[in-house]
Amino acid sequence: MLNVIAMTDWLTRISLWCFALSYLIALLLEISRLFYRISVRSIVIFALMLAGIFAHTIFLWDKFQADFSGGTPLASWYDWCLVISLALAVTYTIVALQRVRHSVGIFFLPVILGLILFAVSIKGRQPFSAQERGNLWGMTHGISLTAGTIAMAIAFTTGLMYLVLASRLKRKLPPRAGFHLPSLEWLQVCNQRSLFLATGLIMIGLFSGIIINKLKNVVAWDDMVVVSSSVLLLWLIVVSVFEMLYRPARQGKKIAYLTIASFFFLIMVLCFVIFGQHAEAPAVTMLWAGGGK
Amino acid sequence: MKVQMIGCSHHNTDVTFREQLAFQPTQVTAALAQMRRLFPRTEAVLLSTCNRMELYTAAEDEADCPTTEQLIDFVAEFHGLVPQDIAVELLNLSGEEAVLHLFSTAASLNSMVVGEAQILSQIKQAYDLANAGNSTGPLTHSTFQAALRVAKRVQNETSLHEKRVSIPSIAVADYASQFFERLDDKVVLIIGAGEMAQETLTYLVDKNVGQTVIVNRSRDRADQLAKQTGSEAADWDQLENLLAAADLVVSATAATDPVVTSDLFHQVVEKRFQRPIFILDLAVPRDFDAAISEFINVYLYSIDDIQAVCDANLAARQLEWPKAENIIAEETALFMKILFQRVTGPWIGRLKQQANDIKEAELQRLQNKLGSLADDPAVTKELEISLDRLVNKLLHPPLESLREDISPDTGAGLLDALKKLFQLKD
Repeated sequence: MLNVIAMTDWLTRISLWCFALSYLIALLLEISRLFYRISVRSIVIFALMLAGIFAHTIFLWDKFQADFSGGTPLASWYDWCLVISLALAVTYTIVALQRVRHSVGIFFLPVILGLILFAVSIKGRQPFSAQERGNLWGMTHGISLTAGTIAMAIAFTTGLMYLVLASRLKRKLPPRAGFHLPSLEWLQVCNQRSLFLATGLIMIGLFSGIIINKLKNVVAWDDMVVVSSSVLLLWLIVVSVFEMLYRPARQGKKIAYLTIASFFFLIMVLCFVIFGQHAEAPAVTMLWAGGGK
Repeated sequence: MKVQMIGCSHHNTDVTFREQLAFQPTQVTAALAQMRRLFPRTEAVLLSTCNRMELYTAAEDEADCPTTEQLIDFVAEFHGLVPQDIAVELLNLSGEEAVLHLFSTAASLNSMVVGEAQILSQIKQAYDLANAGNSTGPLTHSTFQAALRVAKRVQNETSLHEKRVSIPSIAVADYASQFFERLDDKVVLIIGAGEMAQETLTYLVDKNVGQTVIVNRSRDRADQLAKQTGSEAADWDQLENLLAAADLVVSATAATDPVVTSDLFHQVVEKRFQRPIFILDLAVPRDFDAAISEFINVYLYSIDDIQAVCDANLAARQLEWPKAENIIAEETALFMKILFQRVTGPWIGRLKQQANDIKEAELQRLQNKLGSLADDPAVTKELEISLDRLVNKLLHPPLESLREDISPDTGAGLLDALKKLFQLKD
């Protein structure tokens, strides 16, 4: 009994830095592939990722339970960034397990760590307004945008890997020991599928956002977030249609470039959303909108 | 105990000689059966590949093992050759040297392409075949199982096997794998039907390539190669369409001018809709105009591009070589020690038993002499302890020397000396 209590107490003391450190060490080990040969490295990376994912999940679970008693759980940008980074960590671990010799971590782990750092930087921001977070359309809006961001981050990572590998091959650089990437064919397929998925999810997210606004008139239609989101959606649709219909676009680098551009576009829109206090608690939103008088 | 090997390899003999001594799989079975009839208490494994023929024999008792001359006669007779003609060419190793040779061969240090993995599976097949024919025994089991383990250790602890050194193998394994996730749904076009094209095609067939089309100026040679490799042959005038359909192109003709010019390829590109294509131009002079590499999604590699990797891999292998040799030397020494301890163990036991028998007899004699004094258990106990200590102190130095000396030559000599000095019998 005492052991269980001690264990529970220990688990509640897991902080964000525990899993961030695990991912960071895993990244350093991935980078060391370029310089040293260590026979057990892949096993250590895998163990670190499992430990990181475990700590990450426990951390979010604790937060989920704490939030649940006070209302809707995981309802802030901070939480969502951590959820996205957890999903990417799981994706990377699965890919790394299937492709032990490949250096996919060099591309995935900085994105994961970047998201965690970003989460830390916006920790103090207000949670989503209580009015929106319990609402079906509000939840659809949030979940689909989160899933769309995960898919877009995967598309971005695989697109980046595609461009790096294609550039190395075009320049006829010899295979570098410790730096093996998945084949161009695999990267292209992953990139395309993730892009289509991201487009679909972001489309759902934005349409549900429009419905919310139509019903409750949360933000003005000419608001920067609404305009930029619409432009992003239009951009993603154009990219996807271009990808489907224009045969040369289906092959090679073009789609990878477009995906990377799409990802940065998405980051820009998310910045508008987060720093524009979109969906935050009413008092803050009103202040931002100049309605606090 | 004796382990020995006679054989030849590409290191010391030419292909004509090796062809004469080669054993087909059915012949291996027959030869091992014959060996068993001639030398019933000898264990044997016969390894026969295109680069080597090695006959390993072993026996617990040295007298049961055939001599080198008997083995040469056996091989010569099996192939209908004159023993004197082959004797000078054959390598003969025994004891630690034979074990070291087997371990090095299994680890691919003795292969023509150092580090190639095929030899390990060939050794495993030879061992399995000998097992199936009941030609193996405790010595060959431990020797060949150790060889397979050592080869795996070299594979895991060095990058010797990761570095390929033949142009076609690098082209297929190191480059094609960076483009394609799988080859079973790809179209491969082979331009030319020469040796290089054939070798590359062999690697591609091993990788389970989908559709392979061979095109050559001489249709007959293309047909011939297609028949050998289960591919398709096509007419030379189909080249443009074939290029448009291909995912991977291997070109190795003997043409003195480019076979595919930039103008011709321009038409191909239009039909391909920028679909990526990997072209391996292995011909000298080159078959593809160098300007073709400027087209979008065209990855054109000449033999020089791959040769650079080839040279770098060779240099890298040379760096790994001492590491692999150290592993093999360490494992051989350990193996010989274990093997020798296995042989000396029963004799040490026998010597101790003999000494114990003498001690018991002496103790009995003393007890009889001591009369009533021997009735005191404390006195008897003290006598027994004293005799035990005496026996142990006398036997300790020779047995320690025997255990420590793992060299089969001096070690076996010490064992023989021990047998003679203490008159140990089987």
